[in-house]
Amino acid sequence: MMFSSLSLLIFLPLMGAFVLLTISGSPERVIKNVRHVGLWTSLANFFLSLYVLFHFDMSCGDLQMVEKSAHTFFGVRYALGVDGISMIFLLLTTFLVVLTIFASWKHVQKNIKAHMFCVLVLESLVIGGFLAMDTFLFFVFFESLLIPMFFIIGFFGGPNRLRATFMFFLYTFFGSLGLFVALIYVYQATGSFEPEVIMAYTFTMKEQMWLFWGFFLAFAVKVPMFPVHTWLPDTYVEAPVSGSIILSGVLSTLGAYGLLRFVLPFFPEACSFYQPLVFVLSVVGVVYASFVAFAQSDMKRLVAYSSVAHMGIVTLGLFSARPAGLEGAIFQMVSHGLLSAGLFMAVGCLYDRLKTYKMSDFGDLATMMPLGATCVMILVLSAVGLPGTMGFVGEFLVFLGAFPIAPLWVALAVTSVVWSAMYFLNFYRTVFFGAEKSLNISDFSAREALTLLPIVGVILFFGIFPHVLLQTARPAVYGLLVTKGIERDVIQPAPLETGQSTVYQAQP
Amino acid sequence: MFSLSQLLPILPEIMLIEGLFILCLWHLAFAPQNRNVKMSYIHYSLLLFALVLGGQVWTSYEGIFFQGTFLFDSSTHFLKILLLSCALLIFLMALFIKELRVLFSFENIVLFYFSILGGMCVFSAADLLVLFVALELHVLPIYLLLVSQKQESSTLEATVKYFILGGFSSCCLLMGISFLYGASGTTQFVDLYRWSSEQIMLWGNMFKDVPYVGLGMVFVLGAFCFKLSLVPFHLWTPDVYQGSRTSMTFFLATCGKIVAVGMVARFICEVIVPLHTVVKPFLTYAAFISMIWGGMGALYQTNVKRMMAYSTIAHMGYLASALAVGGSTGFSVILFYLAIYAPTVLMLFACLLVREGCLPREELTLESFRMLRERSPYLAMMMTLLLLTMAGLPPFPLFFGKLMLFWTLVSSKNWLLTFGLAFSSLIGCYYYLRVIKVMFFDEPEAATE
Repeated sequence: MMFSSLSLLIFLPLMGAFVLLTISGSPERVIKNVRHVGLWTSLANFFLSLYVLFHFDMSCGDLQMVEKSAHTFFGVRYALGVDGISMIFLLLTTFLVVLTIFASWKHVQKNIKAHMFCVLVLESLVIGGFLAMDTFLFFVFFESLLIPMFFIIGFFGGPNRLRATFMFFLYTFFGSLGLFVALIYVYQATGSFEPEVIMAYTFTMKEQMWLFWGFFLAFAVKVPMFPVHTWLPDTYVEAPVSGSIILSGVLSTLGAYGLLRFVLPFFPEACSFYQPLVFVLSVVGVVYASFVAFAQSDMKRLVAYSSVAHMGIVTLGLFSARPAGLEGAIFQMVSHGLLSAGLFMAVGCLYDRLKTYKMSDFGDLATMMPLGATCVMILVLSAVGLPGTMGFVGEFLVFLGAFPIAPLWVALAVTSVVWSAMYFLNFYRTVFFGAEKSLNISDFSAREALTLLPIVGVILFFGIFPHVLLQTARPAVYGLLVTKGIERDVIQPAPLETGQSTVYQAQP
Repeated sequence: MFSLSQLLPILPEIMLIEGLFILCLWHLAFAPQNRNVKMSYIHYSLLLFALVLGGQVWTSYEGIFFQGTFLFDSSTHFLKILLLSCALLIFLMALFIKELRVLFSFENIVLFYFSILGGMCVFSAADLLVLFVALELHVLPIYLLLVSQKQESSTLEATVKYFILGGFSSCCLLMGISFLYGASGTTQFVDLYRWSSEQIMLWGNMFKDVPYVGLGMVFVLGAFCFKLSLVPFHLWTPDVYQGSRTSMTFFLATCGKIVAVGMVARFICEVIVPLHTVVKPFLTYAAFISMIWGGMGALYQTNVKRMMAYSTIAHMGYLASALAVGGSTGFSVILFYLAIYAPTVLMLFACLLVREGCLPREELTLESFRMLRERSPYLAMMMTLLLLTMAGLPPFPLFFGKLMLFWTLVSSKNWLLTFGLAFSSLIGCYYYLRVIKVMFFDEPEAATE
């Protein structure tokens, strides 16, 4: 590597954000320039992440392109690195931010500078979170991103935005305080914030029990898991389109990533001790959120609850601590990120046409907007888990991984396929095939199509070729499992051939 | 043998007094002719404080001077530099902020000098009586400064409250000192330290039952808690902060708190170290209740100055939690936190002053910050950064102060205070963000409701 591309990935959006501050002139000019600076910065970052992918060695499970500062600051080291897992989420983030900026192209007119500033700062913080290979550095990124998010929701959100933004902020802050204390404790026990050192250290069972909660709660709030999800519906609904996309697509992924990266390998015994509890919470979350989603008349709220249901499947997979479950969870995280982002964008497009989120106000859109209907149909079918789309692969792998451990609970979770079909198809039927309302609605504009089509394309691509993604993550996942002996009988993956990605032998 | 070099440890103090004399002469000579003299005082003070600060940075000694009454070590050095920098910053701000300039008439500048001088002596005091005198030198000018401004009933009320309660706390301190003297036969820190370690060897944990000592410690700690505005001696803080002029609250909340914290931290963490087990429960509960009480109190305030008063109580609770850990770790954490906290508060109050200057009535309610982003976006941005710092959010410096606090608390396994600190910072987030909310998110229509 000639230059530190990972640092550049973090700092490029930040630089873009500060360039934004220098823009001045007549309002129209400012709007135009701000949009373009934002778009091009995020695009450049996306290409930079592709460049990183190009230089990334897929067969290696270790951290790559590591950047480590020689000095520590309060014991914190500026250490970045990328492995298969963070590579995937890095791409997801840079990809989604480009689309976010594109999707909120027309939404934000007033104070567009502040909006774009927040989005770019948020991007750099999220990327920092995914790349940080020092636990405390991760925490700093993880908590800093509350600030731009607070402004995005509070400044640009809907009518109830104040309540939403405070709920979001305080809930997440509450969670991260426990993480803060737990991290300090971990440092004092192990003498380092570096994950490798912490993983090598064995905590006593009693310590693990406490530390587990400190870590788990912070990430569970962000994911969000069932009992601490109550901030989510309000926040997702009140946030502007950009906020909803980043929250659901990237931030909840970051929470799950924290579970995967820190909680599972640091406290394996506590994880297996609390596994039943997490399973129950996940499954309850899945079923409960599905039913609540079914009861919604508001489209955005429906998508928000469906997001809770999908993330429940992710935590189920993560805590199964089996290769299939973990890979499925990672896959599901990506698919959830893309799906909910796509659905929020689509719902936003519909909102722009009628200025309402109420499902019953729409009807028979399929004839008026064939392109839109097709895009949303693919998204909905993927959310339902139709084979051939991303949603199917993730859910299937998770169920496959978790089934041997808790057959009953997984059987309950499998019903989520039925429930999601229930509410999503109901949504689709009402909005796109419902009774004719003699509405005059235009089809997607070129810009809207350009935001949704890439997502639809990616969903179909990975639905048909899931091994591309799974192969990237696999070495890192096995590395994670083997390091701490989480799964004592990890089966080495069979050499992969195309199209044969999901073959696992039965566990002995 | 006396030689001038013996005076070197108090060089900055001497410079300050000399500067004060020159100022007085200047005033006598030129005040009647020159109308714009006030501005020149501020320029002069700026120069003087820059010189004193330079002198202070250059002067660094280790040891105790003047028959065991004046000590100088690295923490003294640090605290004095902090105090002088804050004073310098205040004068610097006075150049640009009209409301602060109004405060600095000749008499007030003299009082201000005396107060800073007292503060510097407090940090160097190595004897309880010197400490008391220095503290009075620091506090008495503040009473005068408080009352010297416009005679509004609220200001008067605040001043009288502060004066009576402050006088009472000084009495308590003196009373405690006399009890300690009665028990130990000394007022010097070095001897006190030796004496208390001997006693703790003799008595062990029964030490608190030794006649006079327990009583003396209660009085001294009570007076200290008053200065720090820790619960249960905090009640003056909101009234005085709200009632007095913002330019004075400004001074109280920064220089006043630096002096108080420096004094208490030295006494607890360096002088009566052997007695720490005795004072620890008291400090622990005072810190815990202050953190929670300050946070809860700030939640319901509509006056920003009053909110800042409660937030001060909470922050002093944070510092007291490091006191409860004690020892050199506690001391260094306190200094670290203070060094970030004091300038932040200073700048935040400067923002409040600027805002107050634009208001018809001098009431800094939350409402008066509504839509600040439209009226003065840079002020709003500055305040946002400072409030986020006060809330202790990550990229901002006070986060690292909080990190150090948590660090000491966790390493001493003090879970009660860890919980209190976490809970209080959660509440803190809410009330600091509420100001940001009013500045940025609230719509102008609501103002007419």
